[in-house]
Amino acid sequence: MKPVTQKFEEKAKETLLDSQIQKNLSGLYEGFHSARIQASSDTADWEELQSKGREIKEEVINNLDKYLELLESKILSSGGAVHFAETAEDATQYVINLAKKRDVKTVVKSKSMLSEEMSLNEELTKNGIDPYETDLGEYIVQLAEETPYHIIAPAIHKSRSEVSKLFSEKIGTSDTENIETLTSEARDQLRDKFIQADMGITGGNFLVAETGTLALVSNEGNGRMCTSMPRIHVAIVGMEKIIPSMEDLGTFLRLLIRSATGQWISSYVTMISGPRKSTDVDGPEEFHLVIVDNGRSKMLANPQLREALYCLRCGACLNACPVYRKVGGHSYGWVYPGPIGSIVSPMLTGLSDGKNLPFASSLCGACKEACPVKIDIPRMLLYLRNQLVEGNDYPDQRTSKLWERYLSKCGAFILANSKLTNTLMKSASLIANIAPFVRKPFPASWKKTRESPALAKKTFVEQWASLELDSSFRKKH
Amino acid sequence: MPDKVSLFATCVLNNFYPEVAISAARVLNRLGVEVAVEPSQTCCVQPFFNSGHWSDSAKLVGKFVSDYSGCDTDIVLPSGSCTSMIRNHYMEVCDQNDADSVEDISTRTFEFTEYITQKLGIYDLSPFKSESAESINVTYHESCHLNRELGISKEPISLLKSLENINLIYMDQSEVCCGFGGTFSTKYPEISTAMAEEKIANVKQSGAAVVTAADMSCLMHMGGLMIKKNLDIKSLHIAQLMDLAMGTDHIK
Repeated sequence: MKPVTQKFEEKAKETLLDSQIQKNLSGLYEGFHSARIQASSDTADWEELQSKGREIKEEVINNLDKYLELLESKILSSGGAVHFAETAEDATQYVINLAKKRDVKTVVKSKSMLSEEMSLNEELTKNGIDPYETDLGEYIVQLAEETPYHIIAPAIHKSRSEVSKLFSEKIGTSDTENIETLTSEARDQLRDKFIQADMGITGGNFLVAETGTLALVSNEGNGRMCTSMPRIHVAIVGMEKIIPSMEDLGTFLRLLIRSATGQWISSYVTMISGPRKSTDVDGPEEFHLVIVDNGRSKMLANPQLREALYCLRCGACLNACPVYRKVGGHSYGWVYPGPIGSIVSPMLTGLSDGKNLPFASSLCGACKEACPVKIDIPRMLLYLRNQLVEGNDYPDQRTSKLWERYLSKCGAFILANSKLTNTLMKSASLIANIAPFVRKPFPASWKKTRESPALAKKTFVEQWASLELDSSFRKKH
Repeated sequence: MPDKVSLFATCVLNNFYPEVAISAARVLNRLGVEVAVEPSQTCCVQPFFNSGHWSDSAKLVGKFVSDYSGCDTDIVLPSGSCTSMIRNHYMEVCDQNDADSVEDISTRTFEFTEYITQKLGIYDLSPFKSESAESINVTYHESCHLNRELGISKEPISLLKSLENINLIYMDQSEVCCGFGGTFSTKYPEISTAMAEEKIANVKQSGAAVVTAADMSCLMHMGGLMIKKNLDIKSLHIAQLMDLAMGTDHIK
């Protein structure tokens, strides 16, 4: 997906004016967000689970090479193939070469955000291969020729009637808003594709190193069909998705699913360890695992940002974020929206292009509170802001203007000197007597919708000195 | 020996809402605390820190350190956000030379309601109430940094509830950000306003006549929008409400 992170402001404004999308987004708080809070508070050892999950992630990410090697050897020994892709293009090329070599005409896909990084559908189509998204939300987004709006709910921005209209236009369904009818229409369409498909492409929620197992979480059963019906299964997975053991998988399934949808467990958890064995009655003949970096090692290399790689892609921070709930997914301009996206997208696609994203937060901390592995998102947003302004670690990515830095210096100089500060404030207050606009000094961008507070005639410190108060009350320390 | 604190008003209160800082001082005094004010106080540096200007922040942290080191007085701020800046972020940006002082200062810096509850051990203000205080319907907004960065959530509610004349009404989504976010409010005014609109809709729906919080900047934001919308709902700092309810505003 071509990043358009620099258009954040423009797209956010458009979204704010779209009353239908605002209505659709307003369901997130009572929906996913509240369901997560319920599920986590119903889990007796939730905080322990969180700490355990975080510790495991910390260990894996700090020793990524070791775990990747172990995983690779396990997959190879079970008859699968492993490809390490440094870039999205490299990963795409591997998939396309394989598809061509094996004469693949039709591909069924289950949900994968990484495939969006690769623009995989577009590239497959260019090469004469037809990709079909089989997750209902992804299917809707594909029909609408859009990109996913949310990490786990790609079509969250579309209302029932919009989907109905889309289906009747694109697949000729009857004019109905009945969800069951619409779902079964999609199901009919997709059933044929599953049967036709030569290749199934999936993402992966976890890669278990000790057993060489890919774990997929889904609610629709489409993931399992993609991994078992076509003759080839390709899984494309970010390198950070690795966990050490099957025992750890139990921890992470709880953390992920409860944080994502508030379900106790998803309808399906599919585990794949290699292609069909000689004793298996079905399953794919070939299993390929493509492990993708695509800029992740930049975060790995920076201790300040490393914890962004702990992310389980549950979407809880999006649901918790009052900014995401207003500006929606597309405003962020790349694959990953919301708070975690404001760190990951600039890091993977260019910090200076994505300079708006770290600032597009009120730093309320709801994301950190919601995160199942306690990722300190606000801390990293602040770090990236500092990099954009001062650029000590990424000098070529600094975007602040000289006047801006100069203004800050002047401000700090004034405030570091209380006499100067007081004189200026006193003068402002005096000037305000003849020029009333000075009394309410907030900028126009504030005043357009909010009344500016008024400068006090006397500051608190000035008043304090003259307050006729009880002596114990008025003292210097 | 009475407890003694140094009140850091914050730049917002010092310049725009001195009456709130005075209320905070009166309330503390009524609770038996001797209040002092460092006259050279300016700003906690949060606007600089949050907008990425960390080297300038370090200078202002240095100023704060020189104002408040060398004594063991507790520092009380009528703001969760500024308190969190000092306690949670000073160490990140300060000069190495200031590190020890920052550590010392951060352990004796308290938010106003935190100080009253956790340091003074007062959760019930009913013994201090004034007979003449009028009854008011109040709803409480949980300011983000107080709630999430300092973990202070039940304390201010307990204080408000203990005051008979305050009829505390819960509003939906009281823990959701009001959209202020410091410079965020002017960098992205449309998003910030949309967030405030939602907050105000919840305030309105609660039926309260007053919205309160422990941070004036949130109230300045909500109040600013309510004035523009001609809503007859006041925004008052929790210290002002306590001042009214305890009748300390009569102390001269």
